[in-house]
Amino acid sequence: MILHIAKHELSRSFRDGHTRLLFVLTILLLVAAMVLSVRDYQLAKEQYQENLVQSRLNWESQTEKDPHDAAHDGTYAIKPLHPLAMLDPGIKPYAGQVVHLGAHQRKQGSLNEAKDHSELFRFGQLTPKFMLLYIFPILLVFLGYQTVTNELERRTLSLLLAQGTTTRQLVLGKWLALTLKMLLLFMVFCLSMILAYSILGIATETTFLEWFVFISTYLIYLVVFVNLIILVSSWARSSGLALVSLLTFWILITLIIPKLSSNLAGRLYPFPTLQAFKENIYEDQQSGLNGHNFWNEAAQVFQKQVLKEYGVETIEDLPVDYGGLLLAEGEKYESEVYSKHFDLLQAQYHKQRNIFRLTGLTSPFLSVNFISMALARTDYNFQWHFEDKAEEYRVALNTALNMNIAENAKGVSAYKATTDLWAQMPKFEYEWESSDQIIADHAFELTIILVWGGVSFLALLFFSSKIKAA
Amino acid sequence: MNPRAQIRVEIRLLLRDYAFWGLILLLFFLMAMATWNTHQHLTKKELELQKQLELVQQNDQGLIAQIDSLNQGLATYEEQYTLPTSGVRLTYNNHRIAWMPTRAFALVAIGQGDLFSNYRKIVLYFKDSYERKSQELASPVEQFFGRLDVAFVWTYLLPLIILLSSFNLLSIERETGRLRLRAGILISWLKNTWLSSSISL
Repeated sequence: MILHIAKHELSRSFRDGHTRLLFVLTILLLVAAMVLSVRDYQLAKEQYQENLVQSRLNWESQTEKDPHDAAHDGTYAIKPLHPLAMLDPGIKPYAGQVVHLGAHQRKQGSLNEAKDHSELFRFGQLTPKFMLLYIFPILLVFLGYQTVTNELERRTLSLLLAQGTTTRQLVLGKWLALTLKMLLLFMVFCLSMILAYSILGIATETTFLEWFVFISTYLIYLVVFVNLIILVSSWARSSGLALVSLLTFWILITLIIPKLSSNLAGRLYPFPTLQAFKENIYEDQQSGLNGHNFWNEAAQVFQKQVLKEYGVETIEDLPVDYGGLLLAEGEKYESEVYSKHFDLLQAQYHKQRNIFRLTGLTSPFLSVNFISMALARTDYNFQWHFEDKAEEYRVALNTALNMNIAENAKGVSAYKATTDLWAQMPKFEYEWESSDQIIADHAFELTIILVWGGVSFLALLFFSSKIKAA
Repeated sequence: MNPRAQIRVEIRLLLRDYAFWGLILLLFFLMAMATWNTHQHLTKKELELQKQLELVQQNDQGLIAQIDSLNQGLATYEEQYTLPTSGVRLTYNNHRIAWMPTRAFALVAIGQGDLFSNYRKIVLYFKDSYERKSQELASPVEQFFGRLDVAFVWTYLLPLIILLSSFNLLSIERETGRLRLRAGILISWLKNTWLSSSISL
């Protein structure tokens, strides 16, 4: 009986011109989103490759100079682009794409895409993720809001019940029909995605696990909407009321709750002002080593330590250049200070993330968003991971350059390293955080999605037996 | 029923609608949150600007003291560029601030205000990248979801309330069969129902 009802519902829907029109419009939008995303991804990838080559070329083509001068000029760590970022750009437009790796200072990523656009950019981009998170649910609302209320309004519900159909069978039949419609749309999305990834030849750069979790999460999110639509349609006394209730629900889930959560997180755990952040770093730096300050207390302690280590009385007796050692040690200390304050900032974000996790209980949109961004490596955790790795590289590079001074500048006036030193320095190579790690880190969000799916379906089953014909 | 009576009926119907009251309460809650949020955002910006201006004042006082010491022969400067009167030194340590004053309508919409600061340092040389752009230190996740401001509430919630209050204003007349009754009396249904519904809305 359930299959029969579903079949009847599907044939009735597709006879309706409105349904066909909605499907065609959505598919056209989806194709447009995919085409735009492929183009954006290609452009971003080309830019990334070009920047990578250019920054290394700039580094290696330096003339003979003091290695510490080269460290001050620095080089760049360019943020890579994961293949899934094509589907979900996440916070990428709001986060820095490039980190300058110079001496003495850890810097945040710069070149935020959002700053190069007008205010219209804040309305969002047409991406496959936008289609899946916003457009597909609203389309499902329009396709399904009157699926049960119609039977009430046309007085066909009494007839169906009189023929022996139970309300649960009716509701499950309607649910199956709407799920099949959703799957049809989702198939179009998957096909266009396979086509896009085949054209770009990047499908294999993503693991099976990443694909599986990415697709399943969106699928469950859409199933949650199907469950809720049928539930509201079964509960409402008129199609109009069902439509308005579902629109309210859609606005709450996709627009209001995420914004409220974000503002709540920002209010409860605010980031310090830039001024305060810099002042705290400055204060900590004052009490420690600075590669250019030979005279402060910390430098005196370090000097004694070095002399003791080499078993000599004065700096002049050292077999190495003391200035280079001080620079290397100073860099290490400064990096520790920066790491301390950047870790505090990161800890503040993790507190904010806990707020998002909790509010995710009221909106599956948030949980899906965070899982999707994490797998696409376009979330804030990825930004931190990338910047932390860039910092590790910066310290290693500066230490190598400063140690070159220590080893070669002894007794040399205005020491300059030869040009081959620059090419000897290793390149910055970033390794993605493993998908297992990411999935484990987002276990709570995944559970929320599953709970939403399960509870909404159980609620549907429970309320389906409460429907009355009049 | 004359149009005035019809308006009264429509208003009564609207006032008895729980969903309408629910949305009105939500609207009030969000409006209060949005106004408070925007106010906090603007206050934070103002405080940051004040700090920057105070810093300029402190640096200037320090500079005056240094010049005074120099004039009285109490201080010596070995390098030319470290002289407090040197142009390079002045622009390095004693920058100026250019800022945009906050306008009254800023309380309505934050817009791009969370991406840019409302001041800029006029400096010849920069110590670090933070100063150069005078950017906000904000979580990109907050920027991604956007700020809750009054403009957002007006744009998304008000149309929803209007939709809820009016989606069946006329269709219910047809569905319940009242339209035929109204057409049967002399007063135009258009004047009677449409006008009264619009006014009550």
